[in-house]
Amino acid sequence: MPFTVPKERWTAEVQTTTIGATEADGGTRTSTVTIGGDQSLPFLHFEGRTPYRPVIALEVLDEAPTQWPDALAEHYRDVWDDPAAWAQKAVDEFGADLICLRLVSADPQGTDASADDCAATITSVLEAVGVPLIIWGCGDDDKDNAIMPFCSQAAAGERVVLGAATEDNYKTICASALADGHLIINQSPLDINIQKQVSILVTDMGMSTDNIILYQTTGGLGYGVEYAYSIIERTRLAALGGDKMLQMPMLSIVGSEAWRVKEAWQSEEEAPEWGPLEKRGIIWEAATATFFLHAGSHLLVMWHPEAVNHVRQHIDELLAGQQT
Amino acid sequence: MGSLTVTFEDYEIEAPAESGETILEVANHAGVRLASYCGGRGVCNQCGVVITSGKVQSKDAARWYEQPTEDGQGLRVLACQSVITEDISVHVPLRSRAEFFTIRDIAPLAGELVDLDRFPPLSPLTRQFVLELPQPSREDATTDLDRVLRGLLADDADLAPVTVDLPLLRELPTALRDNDFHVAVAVTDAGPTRTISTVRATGAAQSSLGVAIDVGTSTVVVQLVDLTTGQVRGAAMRRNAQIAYGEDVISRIVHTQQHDRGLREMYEAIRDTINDILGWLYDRHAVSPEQVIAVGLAGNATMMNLLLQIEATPIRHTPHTPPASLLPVFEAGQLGLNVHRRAGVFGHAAVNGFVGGDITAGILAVGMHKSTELCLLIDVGTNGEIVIGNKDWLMCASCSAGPAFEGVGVDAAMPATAGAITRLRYDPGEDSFEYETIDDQPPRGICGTGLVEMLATLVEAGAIDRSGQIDTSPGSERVREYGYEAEFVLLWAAESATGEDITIRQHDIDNLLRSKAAVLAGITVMLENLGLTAADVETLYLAGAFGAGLDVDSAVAIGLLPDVARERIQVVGNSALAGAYLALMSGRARQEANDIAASLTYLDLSTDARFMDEFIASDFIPHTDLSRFPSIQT
Amino acid sequence: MALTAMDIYKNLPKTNCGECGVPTCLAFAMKLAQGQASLDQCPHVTEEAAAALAGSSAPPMKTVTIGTGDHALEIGGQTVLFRHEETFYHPCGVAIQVNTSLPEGEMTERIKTACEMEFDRVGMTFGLDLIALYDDDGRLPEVAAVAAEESSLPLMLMSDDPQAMRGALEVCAEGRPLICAATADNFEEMTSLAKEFECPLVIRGEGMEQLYELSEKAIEAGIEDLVLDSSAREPSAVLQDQTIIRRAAIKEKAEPFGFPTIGFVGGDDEVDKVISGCELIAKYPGIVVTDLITRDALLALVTARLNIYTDPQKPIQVESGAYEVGEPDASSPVLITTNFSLTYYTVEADASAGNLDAWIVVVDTEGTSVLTAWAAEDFTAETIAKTIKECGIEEKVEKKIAVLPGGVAVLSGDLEQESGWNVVVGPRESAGIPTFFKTEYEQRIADFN
Repeated sequence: MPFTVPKERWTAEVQTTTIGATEADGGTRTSTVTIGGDQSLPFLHFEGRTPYRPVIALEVLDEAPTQWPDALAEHYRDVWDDPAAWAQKAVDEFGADLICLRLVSADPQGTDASADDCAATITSVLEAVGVPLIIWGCGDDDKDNAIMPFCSQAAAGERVVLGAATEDNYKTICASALADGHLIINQSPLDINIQKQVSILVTDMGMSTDNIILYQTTGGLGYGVEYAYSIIERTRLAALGGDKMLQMPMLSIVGSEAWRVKEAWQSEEEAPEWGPLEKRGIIWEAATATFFLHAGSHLLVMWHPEAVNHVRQHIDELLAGQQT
Repeated sequence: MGSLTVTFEDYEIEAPAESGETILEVANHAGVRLASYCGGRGVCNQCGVVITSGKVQSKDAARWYEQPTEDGQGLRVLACQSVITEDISVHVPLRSRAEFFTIRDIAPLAGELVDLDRFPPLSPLTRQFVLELPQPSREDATTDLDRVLRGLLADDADLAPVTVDLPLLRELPTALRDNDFHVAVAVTDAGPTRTISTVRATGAAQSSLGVAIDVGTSTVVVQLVDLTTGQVRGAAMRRNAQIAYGEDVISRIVHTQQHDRGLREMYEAIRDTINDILGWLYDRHAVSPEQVIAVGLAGNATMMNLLLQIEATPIRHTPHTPPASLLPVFEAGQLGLNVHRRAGVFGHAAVNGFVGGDITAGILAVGMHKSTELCLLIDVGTNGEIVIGNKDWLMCASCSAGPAFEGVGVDAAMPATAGAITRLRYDPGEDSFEYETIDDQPPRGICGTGLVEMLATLVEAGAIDRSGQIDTSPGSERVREYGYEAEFVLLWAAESATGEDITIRQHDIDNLLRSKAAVLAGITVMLENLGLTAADVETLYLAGAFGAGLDVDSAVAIGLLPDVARERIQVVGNSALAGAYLALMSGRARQEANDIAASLTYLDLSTDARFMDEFIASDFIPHTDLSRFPSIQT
Repeated sequence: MALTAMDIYKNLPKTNCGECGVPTCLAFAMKLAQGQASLDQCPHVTEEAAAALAGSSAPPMKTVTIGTGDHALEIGGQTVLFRHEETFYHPCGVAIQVNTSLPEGEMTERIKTACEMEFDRVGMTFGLDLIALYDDDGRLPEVAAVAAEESSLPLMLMSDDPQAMRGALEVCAEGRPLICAATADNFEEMTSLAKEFECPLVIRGEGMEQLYELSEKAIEAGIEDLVLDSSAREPSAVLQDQTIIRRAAIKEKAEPFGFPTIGFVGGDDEVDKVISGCELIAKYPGIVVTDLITRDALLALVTARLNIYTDPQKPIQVESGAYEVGEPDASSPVLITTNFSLTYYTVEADASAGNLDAWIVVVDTEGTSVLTAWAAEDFTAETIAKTIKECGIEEKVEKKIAVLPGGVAVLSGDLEQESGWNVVVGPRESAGIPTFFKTEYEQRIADFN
């Protein structure tokens, strides 16, 4: 019996989504990012096309981080007091496809920055870089609901991505995104069903499916990465199977999750069994990113420039096999 | 002798109280009966009262409950957690009163479910024969017992073999001679043999009666039945007094584990509940307990264990083993039931700790064990039990649905009795509700049937989203904060019989959704295990908390039931009681019930990883996978 | 296509005799459908029925054993394409490549390092699995003799030269090494070696068609333990070939592809190699060969393998212990909950939403929620007290006050006795945490001061 390549007949493809708007589309971005559109499981070119390459966003905090390990801090220390400069460096030096701006200063437990301050930060970052933006609140629902309308307005027309709508808190962010022409992130706690519920809830509010990015809270390598891996994989399968509420492109938080893991930063003196520290964090971040790529994620939010380089190269290699 | 006074305004009672007593304790002494399921631990939140003057000192467990009334004139507190330190006045809202536990008259079961023609011939558990026996003589010196047996077998040769026990032999000589050998002899069908249970004067036997009892976790229902005709004399229900020890079976098992007399207390509570209803029925229908010579029971494994005073702890632990599947026929006197002490008792057999005799009884009543079609039986009580199968095979499972649809744990809920809202429809444009109540009485609360329609109409109107969240965006007068959660006013105080707004709170909705999610997930996972889908189901029987008035469209719209063609759905009501009744009346029914129990395959959902996944997917209206609900317009 | 429980049930005797160990024929059919029982457990099944059911029970991928004794490596035996469907069995073996041209001291050092490398994770110890001797100078027989002596791990012999392979097998075949590889050019010789020495064999085809044909031929030749290599070495081609082989085996039951595969880590530097290794661990080889030897990189690979081969059906659990919300200190409140991740994350999210700085003590309830765990007696005064004692929270706070979920208020008295802590009954629903701490908590603990 001769061998034939077993191909799946998928009934649908991943939703194609564009982030950012150039002048032609009413924004000021000099470049946009398009993701999704996959017709197969990740990078299986024999079966379907991967029309857009997965992209890498670098994360920018609007306040200097206090606990970053040195291996990481050394790349950002010179710019981390100024989010605009930080963003610029991420784009110009490290080649970020887009910037993921996290408004940690809004945290009522911390600086408790005002909505106006946050909006001003966004304006300055938009001015500093031409790539599209992802804007994330501080994680405090009430505060985020208070600042998000202003943040959204400050970026009106730019097709930024606002994060994040959750099962219990989606209305404000949805309303803002709808008003100002943005996209939103649907976040769920490692549960494909809740992910889907959030999609249904926000589309019920009028969000169109091409303005949604899916995000499952994740864990780094060694700390639950496999749960995220499987849920992302299941989501891709559901998308290809025609489930409209799980068809949007997916985002994965890599940097903060990988570097949170002790293996990424604990010194060799403290943990000799883990080997030399020098590259461990980079390895950890790159490995975590690799899993998400192969599971089916489209947008990786990363931290370390060297890890970014390696992962970008891996993406090149994976796409190299595709006939153009 | 109390130095302080608690005034119960609604009752015009000024009750003496000691400093340090709780309002609940004072109310008990004063005859003001408050609802309390948890026995005063501050857990069940049922004994809420309003302090209209004076202050109390609150105990720990539920201080969060406290908050001012809408008019700001009173303070809502839990009676069991409020310690008296000065004179106070108290208003007891209707929903906190123990009338919750009053006995209610209900319509007897009717229709196909209780059609005895399906189980011929009529052969009640205990049959009474009136015998005119020849007096002993020198020629005929047969023993008393042989004389009775001869008489019985002359009436019905199929009775053999008939046995007797020592207590009967002790009574026999006197009973025969006191009545000149003209006696009523009751014979109980104990499976392969028959046992003579009583021999007595014929007068007592003018009509022999039996009772069929559904021993439910939340509610107990009793039907009084004429054993010679099968006709139902009357039926009544009340809440199970065990609720004082917890809403669910696990709490009650825990109570038996933690208290020396726990099992005894639990037994007494259920015995007293049953006897309370029996007494009420006897009064109402002018019947004497001595006339009742047979009892048919259907109850879940825990309830049966507690009634029989058998250690129930194994039911709590995996693999949830009941003490026995088939129960022997025993005497009512051993259970302390207020019927003839020698009355025979038949209990439906349990399959598992979580699929009890109530389900065996339900299968018997709907007849799915004889059907050629693929049938699905869903019994939503305090637990949700699901049976799938036909004449060739039967599979069952249990999911912890919780008692929300039975009205426990949902503040506005009530049993399906006068004043209960059964149907309601919200018109958001007019901001008004159309509703129907039982007996057209002013509304007091919502029953299970109404709760289903309530969810459907609220989600349709956008007042709650599909995850069940109340829309709190400003604009609607009906939405307000209650403690840490939102509440939605269904009916304003002016319309309600209680004089208070009838509201639904966020946690009520969450509870209802979790209940329905457990049921739907259970069904889905069972079907999947068998390689079947909802489309394969030819008949769906919905039993339990829902009345025949249930709007099936709403039940599918909220995803309580899978989306099967509506004409395939039958709302059958209390199938457990129907099964108890059938077993009481027919030997064939008893045999079939035992066969059902022996052939049922139990599927343990708790070890099935897909269940949790499906549960979350189902904890949404109707389900996250809308393609499974093609008939629902979105 | 696997048979459903219903299909199987139709072929069973339907007597519910229970002799197979489960109470009913239907229950037995379900076990069969899930691969948890075998048909021969039914003493009454007819021959016809057995024939009807036989096809569905053969495993789609063979399990292959390399090496002998304690360090023998089992690979393959997979039944699914995606780990959420069912556990990936037999974690892939990590083979450390050792070139035969290495100076002997360096070589033995490398073998020793690989054999001794161990990592402690989740309370278990994980190591590497194979020493892959790569013949880059024709000295394989000689080196194999040394390696067989030095290595506690099974060997893999990498040479396309049958002569060298024979020489190596003659000195180390006892340890059941993996022969790598039979190709179109040396097929006859290598397959005879595999048969003669009874060792598992890698088949390397130039492309999928050739691999398929060679594997078919090897099966015909009576070799049972095969490992497949499609020759792909670039990440894109590797991913696609590995997927095609696995899919053909599982979904189409293509017999020549019903064997584990082997993959070779590529890349220029350490980070690239880890990336390549992660790709392989995810999809799908049974053996991953690498020349990495540093602990940092291998830690990542061993961890990645552990993650991917974890049982996905286990409820998602948080490890038992004391967790922080915000920035708690010695005066912060202590919340008690279970280790079901959804439960924990809900509590954590609600506590954060209330801007709390608090400790959350997580009790191991095998991944069940508060009420479920309570019902099954996994969340009891004893288990909570034990966790409190063991998680170190007593050293972190000044006042011993625990906030118990309202749903299990009944445990409060016993918990106070068991733990010696004061217990405050918190809200029944986690959503009530913010309000509870805003309005209640201070008052409630006032009594304990």
